[in-house]
Amino acid sequence: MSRLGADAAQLEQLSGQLAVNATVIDEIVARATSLLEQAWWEGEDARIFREQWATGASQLVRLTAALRDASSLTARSAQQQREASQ
Amino acid sequence: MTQIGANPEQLLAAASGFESIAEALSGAGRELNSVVSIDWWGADGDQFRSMWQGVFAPELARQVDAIRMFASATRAQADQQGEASGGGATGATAAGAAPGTKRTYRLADAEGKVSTDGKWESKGKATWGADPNAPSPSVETAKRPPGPGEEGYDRRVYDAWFLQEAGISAANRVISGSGSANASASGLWDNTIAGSIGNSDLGASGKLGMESGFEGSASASYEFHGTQAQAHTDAVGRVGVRVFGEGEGHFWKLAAASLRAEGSAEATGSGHADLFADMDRGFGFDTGGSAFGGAHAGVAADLQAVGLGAHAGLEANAGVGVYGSAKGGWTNEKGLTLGLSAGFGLGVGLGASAEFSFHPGKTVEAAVSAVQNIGSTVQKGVETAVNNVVETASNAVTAATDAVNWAGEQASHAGAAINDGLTAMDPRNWSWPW
Repeated sequence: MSRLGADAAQLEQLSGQLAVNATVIDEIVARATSLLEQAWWEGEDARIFREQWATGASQLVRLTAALRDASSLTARSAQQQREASQ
Repeated sequence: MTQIGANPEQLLAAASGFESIAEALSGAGRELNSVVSIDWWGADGDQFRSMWQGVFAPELARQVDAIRMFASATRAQADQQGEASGGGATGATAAGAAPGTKRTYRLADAEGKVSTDGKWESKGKATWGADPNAPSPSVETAKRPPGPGEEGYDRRVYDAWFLQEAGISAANRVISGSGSANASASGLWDNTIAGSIGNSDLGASGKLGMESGFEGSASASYEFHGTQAQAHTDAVGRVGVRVFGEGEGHFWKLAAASLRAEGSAEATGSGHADLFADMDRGFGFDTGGSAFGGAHAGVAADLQAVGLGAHAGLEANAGVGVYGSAKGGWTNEKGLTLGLSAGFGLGVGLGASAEFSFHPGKTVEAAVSAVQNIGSTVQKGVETAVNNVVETASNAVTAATDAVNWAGEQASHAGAAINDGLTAMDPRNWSWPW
């Protein structure tokens, strides 16, 4: 696992940013899904968009999972780098 | 195409909700672009970067576009429906907006009417409109945190605020506007019995009846704009009953008499309540009610006979009423205010009237008319009697004539005899022997 060029502080900041964005996107997905689930929302437009959104939401959920993985990876890297530099 | 079950206001709220979602998602994408391009080297970094650039970023952009397109389609749909239903923008609403900027969408209208046998009916009407351009309330929780590029900017805090703000304004737009409902009911029942005896010359008739009815109505309305809200309700009711009787008698055109009596009772009540609230200035209420009950009784008699007229009447009224009201509130300038008032009233009234009239011309006329009427009835009897008398008299005359004739005849015979006697007694006519 290469750690060239990135110092621990940078990696920690990166980890935080990745986690924050994962949470933000999770919230957006939840909000859009609940908006679409409202009972009065009927019709052909809504049906098509619901199907599209089901796919899009699963992609975004995969994205947030990847963001969280990347966040833990960078956090771990930062910790390893600090340990190595001591 | 059509959004069955959705109304313009819901569509607009949803459209603005989706627009804010697309904006938030797009912002997250931009930030991640910059995050992954900073110094993060190594296999893990490269792997994530390639996944981001190859899969996630395009997918995120696609979702942002799809959400934006759906939002604008929804907005167009809302505009169409708003114009289709009742002329779209149905009038400006009250409460402190710049003229021409406020539009109220009529969301719901309902009207009903029920009637049974034409005796009672009830009807109701309700409307609900919303103001799509209502301003967001400036509540403390919605204080804006530092945005991108500003000192102390925290992406997470800012996005949370953004979503909350979007939610508040969307909800506010649905609630804002005005609504009203009213209902009323009324009924009337009457029962009358009538009878008469005799004919147009001599007779009597009478009538006895009862009427009862009620009516009531209630209405409620509200208006809500941004930080101001007001609501109004009122109700009024009335119930009454009336009983009456009348009788009349007549004796040819010679005399007529009538008697009328009636009694009635009624009660009314009404009440109202107004509430208003202004987040910036305070709140207040104004409520009150009143009730009144009353009764009336009257009797009148009329008599008319051959130009003489007399009338007498007596009536009585009684009533009682109460009212009360309370108003008060809290304003930032004056603090707490409260006012109460109540009243009670009682009244009784009595009245009597009498009239008497005499009309000589009418008296003669009436008398003549009465005599004629009576005459026609007795004429026959008189005629019969006269006929009898005449006939009897005629017979008597005939008998007398016969008697006179006979007497004359006898007298004639007697005269002849006398004449014969006198002739015989005249010495000149004596037949002497010499």
